[in-house]
Amino acid sequence: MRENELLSVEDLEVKFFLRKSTVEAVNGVSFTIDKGESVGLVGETGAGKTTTALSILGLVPNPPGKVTKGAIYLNGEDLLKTPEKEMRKIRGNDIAMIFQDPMTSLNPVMTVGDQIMEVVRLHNDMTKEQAMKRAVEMLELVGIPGERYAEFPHQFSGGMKQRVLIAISLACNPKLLIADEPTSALDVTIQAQVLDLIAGLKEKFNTSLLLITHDLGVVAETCDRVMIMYAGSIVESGPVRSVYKNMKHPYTVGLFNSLPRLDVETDRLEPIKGMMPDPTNLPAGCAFCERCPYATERCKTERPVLTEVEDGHFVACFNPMNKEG
Amino acid sequence: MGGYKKKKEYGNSQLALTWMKLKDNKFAFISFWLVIAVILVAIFAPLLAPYDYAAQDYNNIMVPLSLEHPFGTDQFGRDILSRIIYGTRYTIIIGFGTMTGSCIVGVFLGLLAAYYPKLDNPIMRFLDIFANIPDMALLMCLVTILGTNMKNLLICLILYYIPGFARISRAKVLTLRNEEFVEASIALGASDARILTKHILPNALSPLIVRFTMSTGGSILEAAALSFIGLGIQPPEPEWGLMISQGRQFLSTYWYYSIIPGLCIVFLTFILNFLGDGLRDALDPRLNY
Repeated sequence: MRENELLSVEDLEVKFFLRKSTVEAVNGVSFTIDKGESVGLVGETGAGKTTTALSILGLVPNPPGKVTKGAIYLNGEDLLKTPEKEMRKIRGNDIAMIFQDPMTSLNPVMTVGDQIMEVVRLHNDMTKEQAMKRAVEMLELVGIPGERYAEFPHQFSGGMKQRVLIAISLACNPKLLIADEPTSALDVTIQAQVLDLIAGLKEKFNTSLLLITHDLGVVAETCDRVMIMYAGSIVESGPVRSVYKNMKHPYTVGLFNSLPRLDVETDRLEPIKGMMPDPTNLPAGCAFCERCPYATERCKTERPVLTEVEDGHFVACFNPMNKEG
Repeated sequence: MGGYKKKKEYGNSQLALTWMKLKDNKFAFISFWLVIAVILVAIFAPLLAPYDYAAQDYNNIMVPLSLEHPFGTDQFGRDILSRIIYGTRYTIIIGFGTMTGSCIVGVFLGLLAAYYPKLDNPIMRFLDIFANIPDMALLMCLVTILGTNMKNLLICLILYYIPGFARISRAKVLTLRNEEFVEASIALGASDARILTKHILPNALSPLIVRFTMSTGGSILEAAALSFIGLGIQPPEPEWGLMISQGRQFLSTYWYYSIIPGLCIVFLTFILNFLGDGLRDALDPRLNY
């Protein structure tokens, strides 16, 4: 374990056992997050991003889901071996999560202030007055006037609800904040505000951030490092600058090609052809080989592992590309 | 810090909204106050009743409606108005007692069944046993086995109404437990008990309140029916159903003896149903205006 390391996920494997088939949602994912670092986890729908996040919190729905292999260390302590009672103390206190949809993530019959106060009192030995004071502080920190403490979620706009959720998740000064597509349900102008807010508060509290998104632009703006996930595996990871400038995996290249660019004159975008492989029946070789224009015989039979191509930049491909972005 | 709790001019709590909507529904609003009035009558019965409900007066047997005895007297010369007034006590205790009891037990079982999938089948199939026997047959059997008195009558009615509450709360909780705010509070480290009481139950309350008021009328009718066939409250207590039963033999000559308690039951059931109906509309956020 490195000195500065906060979270370390090693060879994580999550499977969902259905009646007739087994969904291989996460297949041998390994990564680390340092203290104060922001890491982006990018991938299309169904790539296993949320499942990875939920397994860090020990919240993979069981049944049908199960962590079948691997270890998750938070400050050297294996979360997968921690009993449920201890996990409850870690959730919200050491690791907090912001969910995708602010509209449904707040209890509609409880005032927003009480919802912040609830998490404060769950994890701290505080009186009601102290907790209430803390809740008002948190509200004001995310830019909501403290007088709105006693209002209900339906009286807030989507962006403000997301701010309240950020306030709730940061109320106990967590060491790690997991944001699961925090801006997907918001419109573009509010997205920027919310991202700025998360980035600012993260600096202030020196919290580490795992940002799950499918928006490469959001990652470029907020994160230090990025991991590209495809069909339950990380296919490329590295510092944002290095990955964006010098992408190595054909899938990453495909992702970037499917974004509109202002500086290049094109008539059509180039989407990645084909579909994600069926997660109940992953190919024996590289999961991307059926859609990959550069696939060789080797790709079909052997699964590539992450190898370092330049400082801190890993890619899982037998034929890494040499495209200057 | 208490200042933050006070009401703001922009925005109303759900309770205030419900109250406003209930006010707009004239029938429900009047019914609400009438139900309150009936409860007050039950509490202050000794002050309101002109005579003692058990005092026999053989000089005034079967007096028809008059100023002295507005609802007449029965075959023992007891004042029917006083008996009706005292009767509200039994009716209210049976109606609300049954509902409170079965609501607490039923909701508890429903919560467990919905939140812990392993308990779902055992609990719900066991309750189906009670729910699938015709009401009168079940109640008559239970009362006969336990013995006829007020306490046993209450126990039987509570048993009879538990499955309804359990089913409603289970159905509601099944949808709520997959809501994101429940997931979010699990992710914040809340315990099962806390999630159930703080997050799930308050959101499941509105159908339960409606069921509560709607079924109160039903349970009063059931109790009156049981008393009518002699399995409920025993004479000389002034229970309304029992009074109908006692007046039955005089029906051709002294109609008021049976009809007046009958009208009282109809009246109370009506206002409770109106109130329940109004509450259902008032508590439904989709009917906001």
